[in-house]
Amino acid sequence: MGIEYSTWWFLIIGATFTGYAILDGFDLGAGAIHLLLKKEESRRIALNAIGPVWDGNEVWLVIGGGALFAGFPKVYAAVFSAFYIPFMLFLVALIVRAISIEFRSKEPMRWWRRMWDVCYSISSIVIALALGVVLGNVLLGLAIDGQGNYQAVPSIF
Amino acid sequence: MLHQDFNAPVTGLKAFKKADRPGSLNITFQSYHIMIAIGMLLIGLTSLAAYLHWKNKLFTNKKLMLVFVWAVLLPQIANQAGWFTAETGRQPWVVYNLLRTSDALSQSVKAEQVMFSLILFTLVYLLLFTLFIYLLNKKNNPWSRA
Repeated sequence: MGIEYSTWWFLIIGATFTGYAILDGFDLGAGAIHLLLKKEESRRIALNAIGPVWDGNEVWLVIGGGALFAGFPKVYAAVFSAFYIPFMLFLVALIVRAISIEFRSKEPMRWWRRMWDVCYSISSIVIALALGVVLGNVLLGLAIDGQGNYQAVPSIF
Repeated sequence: MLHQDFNAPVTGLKAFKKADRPGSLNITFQSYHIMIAIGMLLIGLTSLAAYLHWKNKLFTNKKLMLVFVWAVLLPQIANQAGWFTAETGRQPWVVYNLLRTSDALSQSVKAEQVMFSLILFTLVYLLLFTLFIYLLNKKNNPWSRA
């Protein structure tokens, strides 16, 4: 076929990350506005909206990351090494989001549910923020030397 | 066993240069044997339990039940010991004969960042473990309302 192998990979990775942005963007958005919904019923409805699909939507990110690792390993290495701290925070936020959805209704106490609601909302925002930091800085251009090592200290701005 | 043939010679440790040996062989040795010992112990425990169950004497044996409660920790320990064996034994190579660990580290990730993430993950796991024990305890407590 007329398209090169590496171009195919580029398109696949782009499609996967776009798919992730659309699908998990929906979940993260539902999480971000969670604290703004005041009634317990509205919060329950919002959680049920992402209920059956949020786990699968996260998988698109894993596929994108894996494809990046396989197809463009130097990009993967440069980006992940440069943004080590944002990625670690992103991982912890993913864990906290998952457990707060799970644990939210396990105990009858009101402070329990409120605590996990706050955790859920903050972790959703942190996930989006961390990915935005990485992507934004990549779009601005990463300063890398010959071996692909990041030269400056990454900051949020 | 290493070469799938009982008579094949196994290369001794001294045959490798000092720089090619793993840093601390004691750790590798001890953790491997801890893992095997726990494995054998669990096999023994399970056989004992199966035999007692056949005799219908299993669930009334209070001492054995207590042992079982604490034995839940053993597979975790064995699992970790196995990983210690694998990771300490593979040094100094990341890919055998091709890539050393000292050559494989990323230069742009500073030591403080790795320490930060290590502490972060320890805290997350501690939190999750505490929650796990708390919730499990509440579920199984006969006096709780859950």
